[in-house]
Amino acid sequence: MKSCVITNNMIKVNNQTIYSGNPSINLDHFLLEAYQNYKVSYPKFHKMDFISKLGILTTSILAKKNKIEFDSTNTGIIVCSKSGCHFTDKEYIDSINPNNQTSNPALFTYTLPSIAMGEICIKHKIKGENLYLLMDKPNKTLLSNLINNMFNNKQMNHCIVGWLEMQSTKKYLSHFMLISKSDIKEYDFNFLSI
Amino acid sequence: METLINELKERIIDRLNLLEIDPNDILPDDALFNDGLGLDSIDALELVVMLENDYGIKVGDVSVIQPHFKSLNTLALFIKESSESKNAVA
Amino acid sequence: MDTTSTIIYKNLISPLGFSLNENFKSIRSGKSGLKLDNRRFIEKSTYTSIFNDIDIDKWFLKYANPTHFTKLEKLSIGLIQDIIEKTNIDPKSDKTLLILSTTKGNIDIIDTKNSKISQERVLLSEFKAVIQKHFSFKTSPLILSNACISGIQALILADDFIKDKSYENVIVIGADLVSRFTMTGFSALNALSSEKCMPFDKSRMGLNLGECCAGIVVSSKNDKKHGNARILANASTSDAHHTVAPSREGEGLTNAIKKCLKNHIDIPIDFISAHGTATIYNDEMEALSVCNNDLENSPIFSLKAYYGHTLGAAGLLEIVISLKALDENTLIPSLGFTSLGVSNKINVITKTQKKEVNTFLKIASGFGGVNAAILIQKT
Repeated sequence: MKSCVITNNMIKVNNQTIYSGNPSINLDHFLLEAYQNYKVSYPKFHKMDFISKLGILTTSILAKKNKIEFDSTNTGIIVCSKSGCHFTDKEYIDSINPNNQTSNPALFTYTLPSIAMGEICIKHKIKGENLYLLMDKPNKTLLSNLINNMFNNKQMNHCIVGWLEMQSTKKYLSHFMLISKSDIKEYDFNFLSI
Repeated sequence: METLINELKERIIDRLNLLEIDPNDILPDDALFNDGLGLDSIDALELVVMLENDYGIKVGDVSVIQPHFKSLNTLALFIKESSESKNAVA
Repeated sequence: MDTTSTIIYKNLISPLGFSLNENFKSIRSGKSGLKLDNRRFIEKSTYTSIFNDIDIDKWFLKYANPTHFTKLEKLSIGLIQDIIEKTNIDPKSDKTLLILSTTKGNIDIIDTKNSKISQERVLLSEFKAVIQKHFSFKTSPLILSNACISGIQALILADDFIKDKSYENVIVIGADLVSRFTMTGFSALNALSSEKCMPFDKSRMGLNLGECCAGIVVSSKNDKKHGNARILANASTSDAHHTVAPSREGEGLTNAIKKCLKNHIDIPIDFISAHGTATIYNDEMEALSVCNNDLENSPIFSLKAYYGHTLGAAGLLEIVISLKALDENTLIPSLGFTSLGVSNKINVITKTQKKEVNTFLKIASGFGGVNAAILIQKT
């Protein structure tokens, strides 16, 4: 079962903890540490908001540690959360200059819940079906249904599924799985939540 | 001009989060967009915001500014000329 | 295994009318909701299609007390109430689902100081909770938020849920507002036009923002009362290229259309409801994608000059109007268009035409590099 979880400045791959950062350091520093440690090597990373950085790191480490490359056309992606990009929305609002109403265009692009999913697709060249939903907590039945739909009706052979929740720099959880049509029976879709 | 160019280097690296770029690696005539520094259309818009907020230069039509974004040299020249003409008016 | 899934009802609340009939009448007379925006959210002048808030409150009085709800909640609750009354769907049934399609939800409340409305309501989860509580929806509503393709995808998801028997009735609501948040943002991206937008036109210079609330009901039951249609095919793809700029070769949208039409090559497409935002890049890429699929002769139109770009609601609004066009056997002109300004020649509809129409293709692209296509046919 291929999965990666990043939460509380800690990284778990396939249910094994592989990295425990100091829980009291800034999220900023932790993410940079992880980026460098796992040689993500993607300069655009530094321009992203926290939510996209989390998504990029989780999927990159999942791929690296499982030694996989995502299949471009036949991989679908489903990302869910409760809070969407609310955290980044607040940052954007603060960036609006009250004197001339200019704001940060780069930051604005991150004020859509699904942009993190877009960044993941760009980095890993994923071109298949995509879906972004907001719900109170990861719903096992629903997710299982959606994944089966990807395989049975949307001609996908693989599906990246993630719960990407950010409420504050101290309260965040990014949990991604890579599920293939051939091994779907092994998965329990037990996504962690905060 | 050299002070302005160095200032621009710092500002651009900071504003555009170019963490992996060493200021010494950017030469004044290097292309900023596409191949050179690899900036894109969003970066261009951020530079427009920088021009307004840091240098008081209002850009009406973004497409007009494109030639001035070619390199640090052309950008610095544009800023210098724009502030000179403002002073002349004043 | 698949159950038949039918679109049994649709309605639209917009600055052009508080019912689909009113909206269609406005479109038929060439009316546009776009007006010069005088709220000074940004320095440059631009046009927007926005409600008169007093009109919303007057309309909403028959549903509930306006002071307890945000603007978006009023629009959504009013429309859902209308849907329930016309279709007799029971929100308390576990075979009923509500899908909300929106990008920013109640984002306007960051600027309003209403003591009855807590700032918490800006969270999409709270927006959903208010609506769920109002109708006592047994199943927790889902929010689909995938940039400008949200509306199309929400309808696709509803259709999937009916076909696999997860639900018997799915209500899809698409709603988004024009706000200081979105206006400053699109202005920072240099995407706004200082004039009324001109989709596909050679003088186009950007988009206008708009707001609305659209609703479609998909059901496992065929309900002949309101003019029916069904979804024949659909597809979504990702450009995997850039977060806001479409790929110049239009590969993503080209493939979405190709995949959608793969098993329906022989069906004549009577018209294409385009995304047509009137930005230089979108329209160019969209026309290219249409031609890449040999659809250059299919009549095509954009609704953005009537309604502005309604973001998360756009796909749904534009499908609602297209469904009405199917009912009325009418081709709708692409307002704002005078002469072609894209490199690939497409057949833009320039005047209203009575014509028997049975099938349309709706396409859209959105931030994140996402694309969607859906093929819909009259039953």
